[in-house]
Amino acid sequence: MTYTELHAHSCYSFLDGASQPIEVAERAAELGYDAFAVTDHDSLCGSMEFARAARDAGLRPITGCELTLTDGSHLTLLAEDERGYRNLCRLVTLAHADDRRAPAATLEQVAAHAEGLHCLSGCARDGHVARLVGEGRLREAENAARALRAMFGRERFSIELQRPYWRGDARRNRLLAELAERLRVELVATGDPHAHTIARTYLQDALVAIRMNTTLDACERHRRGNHESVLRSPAETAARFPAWAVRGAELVAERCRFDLTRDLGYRFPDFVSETGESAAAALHRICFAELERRYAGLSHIHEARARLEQELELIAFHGLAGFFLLHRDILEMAREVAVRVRGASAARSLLPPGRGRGSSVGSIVCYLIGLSHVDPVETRLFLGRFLSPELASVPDIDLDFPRDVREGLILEVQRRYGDDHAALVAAFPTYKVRGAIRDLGKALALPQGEIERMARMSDGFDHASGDAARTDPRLDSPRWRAFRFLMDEIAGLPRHISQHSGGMVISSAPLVELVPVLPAAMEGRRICQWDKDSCADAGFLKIDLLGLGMLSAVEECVDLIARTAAEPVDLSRVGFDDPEVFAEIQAADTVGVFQIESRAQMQSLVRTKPEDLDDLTVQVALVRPGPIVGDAVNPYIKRRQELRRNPDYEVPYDHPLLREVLADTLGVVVFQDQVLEVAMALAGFTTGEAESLRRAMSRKRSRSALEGHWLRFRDGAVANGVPEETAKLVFDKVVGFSEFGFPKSHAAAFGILAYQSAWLHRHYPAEFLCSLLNAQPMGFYPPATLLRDGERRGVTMLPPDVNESMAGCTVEPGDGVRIGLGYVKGVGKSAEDIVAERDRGGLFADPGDLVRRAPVGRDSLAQLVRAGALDRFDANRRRLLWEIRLHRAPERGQLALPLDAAPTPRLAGMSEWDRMVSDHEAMHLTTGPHPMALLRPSLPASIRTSLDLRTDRHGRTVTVAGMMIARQRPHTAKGIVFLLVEDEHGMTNIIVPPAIYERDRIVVRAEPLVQVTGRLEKREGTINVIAERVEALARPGHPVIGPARTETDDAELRRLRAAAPVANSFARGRR
Amino acid sequence: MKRTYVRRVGVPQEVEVWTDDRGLPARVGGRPVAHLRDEWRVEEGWWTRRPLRRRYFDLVLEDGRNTVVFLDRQQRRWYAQRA
Repeated sequence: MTYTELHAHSCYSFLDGASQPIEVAERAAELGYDAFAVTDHDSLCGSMEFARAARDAGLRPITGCELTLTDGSHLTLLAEDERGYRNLCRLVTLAHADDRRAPAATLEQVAAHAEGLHCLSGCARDGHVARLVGEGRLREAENAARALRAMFGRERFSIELQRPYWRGDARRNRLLAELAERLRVELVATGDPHAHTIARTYLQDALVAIRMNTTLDACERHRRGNHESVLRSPAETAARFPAWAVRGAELVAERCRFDLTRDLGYRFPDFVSETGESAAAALHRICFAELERRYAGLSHIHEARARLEQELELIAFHGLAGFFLLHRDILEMAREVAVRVRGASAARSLLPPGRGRGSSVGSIVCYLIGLSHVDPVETRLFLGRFLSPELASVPDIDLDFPRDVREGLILEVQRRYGDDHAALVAAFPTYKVRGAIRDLGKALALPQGEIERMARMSDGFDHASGDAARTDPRLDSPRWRAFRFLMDEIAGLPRHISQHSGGMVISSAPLVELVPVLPAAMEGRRICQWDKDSCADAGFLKIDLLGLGMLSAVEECVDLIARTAAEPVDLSRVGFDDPEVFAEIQAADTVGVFQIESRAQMQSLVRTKPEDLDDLTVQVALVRPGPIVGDAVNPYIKRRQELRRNPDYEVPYDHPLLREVLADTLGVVVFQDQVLEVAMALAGFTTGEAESLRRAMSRKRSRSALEGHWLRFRDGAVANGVPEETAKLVFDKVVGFSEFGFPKSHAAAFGILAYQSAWLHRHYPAEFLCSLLNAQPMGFYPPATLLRDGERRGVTMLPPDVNESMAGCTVEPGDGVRIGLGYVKGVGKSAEDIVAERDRGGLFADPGDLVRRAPVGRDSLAQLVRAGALDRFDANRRRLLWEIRLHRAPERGQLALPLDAAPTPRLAGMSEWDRMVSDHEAMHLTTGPHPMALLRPSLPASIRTSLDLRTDRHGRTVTVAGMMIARQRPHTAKGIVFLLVEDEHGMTNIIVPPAIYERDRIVVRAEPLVQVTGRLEKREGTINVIAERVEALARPGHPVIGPARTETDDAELRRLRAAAPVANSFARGRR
Repeated sequence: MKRTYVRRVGVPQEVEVWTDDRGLPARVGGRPVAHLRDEWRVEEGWWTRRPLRRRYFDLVLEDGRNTVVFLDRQQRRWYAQRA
């Protein structure tokens, strides 16, 4: 007997389903199902992914969901046809309208959207009808069932029968069967699987505990009590039910013919012209007018015209003119928003409101309608990936905006197109190792301290728990064994829905009929239930509006320059050939510069020595996982050095056919589009085939498709006379490259921003530093390090001051940067209140005046004292802390009563060390001396400074000490850990080999103040210490921290450790 | 003085059960099973030292008595519990 599953959960029921849709689809096909429905709780998040995977596996997908009603009961709803699907989307949208965390729909809403849907009466425990039956409320159950039959009609309402092997199944199912008979509706068997394998049913138990925020022991009532919720074969499931209920499921399945992969019915937003002009004609008119304007007098205008004709033809061929015009509209909107948020007169109004990135930058149409700022003809950008005759889906256009413009624009797009037509794309953050350790540890009631330690020490799912458990017999208990087992199962499961970094989808038909739309966590925003892959599968028009911290910083910097410097800067007129800027780039003096500031970039810069914007474009793309895994970095650097030494050097190519496409990058694949070009040049791929290869490489869902591409690649290459070994070599490099690279156009856009930020860094260090500090969090370095870099460039750092500081950081005459009050931890919004009160009532006369006038809590005031913002009144912060506690802020409507307080006791003065630690405690930075400068006299003379290393000889053993700035363990580096350690003179690169890391792991991972002994390695301008030992900085040998304070030195170091700047630590990053 | 003490009630008693070829109870303690009223399964505490894996049956015996028996799937032994 055949059986179709009409009720199943995937991980998109969020913590009530333990398998990915693709796993469910593949397992179901394997078990012999012909059709299958995934019905997640109030969610269609996995519906497109499931439908696609099911089609690929030869399974007919049925789309549905398990809807929660306001009384907490459930209904199983399945889309019979298109109308049903639209109603389903609307219902799920309505259910989330009031509270996206606790979705619930009313029966009236269900009744109003019943058309086209098939309703099953609900699951065994919480089903709208079964629950009442289980509670013995038979009359109410019958009434509820009759009401549903009235809503959906006898044909489209069935009584759902489940067999979870709970006590009471027999009675409940007997009563439900009788009810179905009385109501003359179908009785339908459903299996309600929550996991595709037995292993995952254990995970399902743990997920319930996580969802209830409790332990497995404490949530027995909410768990399923056994492991019968595993996906079984049709025959096995059918055997648990009466034959007519199995036949009922078949009949319902036959009615549900809606196929999400085919019947979605999405259309692009229409282009509406008042004059009746077609979209294609309008685009043609706009582009040619702009072309004549922009290319007037340029030598490549003919080439540009030809290129434009070609692109417009392709656009017309795909019917995409409206698509481009829509982007133009959005950019116009962005211009309006920019004027509003920037203020019309500001210097930053000269800047474009946003910049294109990604493959769109290769298009001349995008250039002409203002989407990109790179002339693709002049920079020889490849169009292929963006637009080709075989285009499989809509092209991607990514736009970068300063954060404030982006915030405004998202709301504006939402407003202009309407809540029902526009929404943000969803993202489903998956379990990361630390979260998994914490959640599973809690579910299993493992000791919290152990779990926390393990979470901090973990290096990823592979090493999460195994190492520790092997060496520690205590960890070999059933709970720890269960923990290790579950850790393997949970990897990669989504935890919740969140919003994508900036993707928006826009539709002319109501979007809420295509995919459910929910209110986002941020006020005024709405997100749809599909992620970017599902949106792409649906063919949705997606625009990426991305916020870029560096653009915000550059904008503010330009504004600051206009305020302080004699002449405002127009970045669009700054040439890309400033030798001073390139000198700094070549010396890797790039702390704070966009994209080329990281440790790895710096190490590369001194070897590649970029000389122009083209070099920077390669540089930006080079230090990425793609080129690193694709084995491109070292060959590129070597060849570049060789070329510098010998201009006649012949660059080697894997095959002569690759000469043309890889000439710019010296024979290696650096850019993503080169993957396409290589496949076309070597194996004769068409653009569409190459694009499909790129997608296969980049999407997690279709990695198995790579094999087919290899065969095609090999045959194509052999036909071109390429030996199979060479083809294999090139193919492996290309696949190694995978998705982790930039397209050239993207790199070109980022290269420009890298140059512009380097230019500002070189010529306006104070303004640049100030704007970087105000755009935090961003970039690679903590603010404390940016500040040291500024000081080396002659910027005077000024401490926060209640009478001088604004809320943000500000530039003061004489290249000074004043730390803003908002930089003090725990002050937050109060900073603006203090400034407002100062503007209103004049400078604060003394601490008492501040306490009385400023509407600020006592804890914030204490933080300001600790940060030194009241140092102007008294250099002894201890005494100030005492004093501000004596002054009592008046209650509302009450006059302050001046009291003669008891005299302040004698409190020890503040040493330089005290002030530095206090600064760090309040701000994670100090404007005074570097901690290492204060510690230096007490350190053994044998410890070298970063300055000493420059003159020390290669190969000698050295010991260095400092604060940890960055820790990295790239998965491309075979277990090697890279550290950046900062002392009062600068930073030192430390390389920790795997064996040393294993031994000194706790120090490497967690210690903010370290001392490293190792071999000094100097090569091609880079200086590294190959660590042999990494230790916590030891207790200083001499009493220098403060007079007679030796006994507390350890305690003092501990204070500093606790307050040290937040390092860029492993994958967590600082962003 | 009278001593008070705690006594566990309803402790499962081991019982002899014959099963049919589908693994369902046919005789309990020698008495034939007349009717199988319900069957349910429990898998609990798999993360502890005392995991529970049981298959329960609610039965009516031929003499009209009602009984609940379970198969402990760890020990492969049958127990009777008060219905």
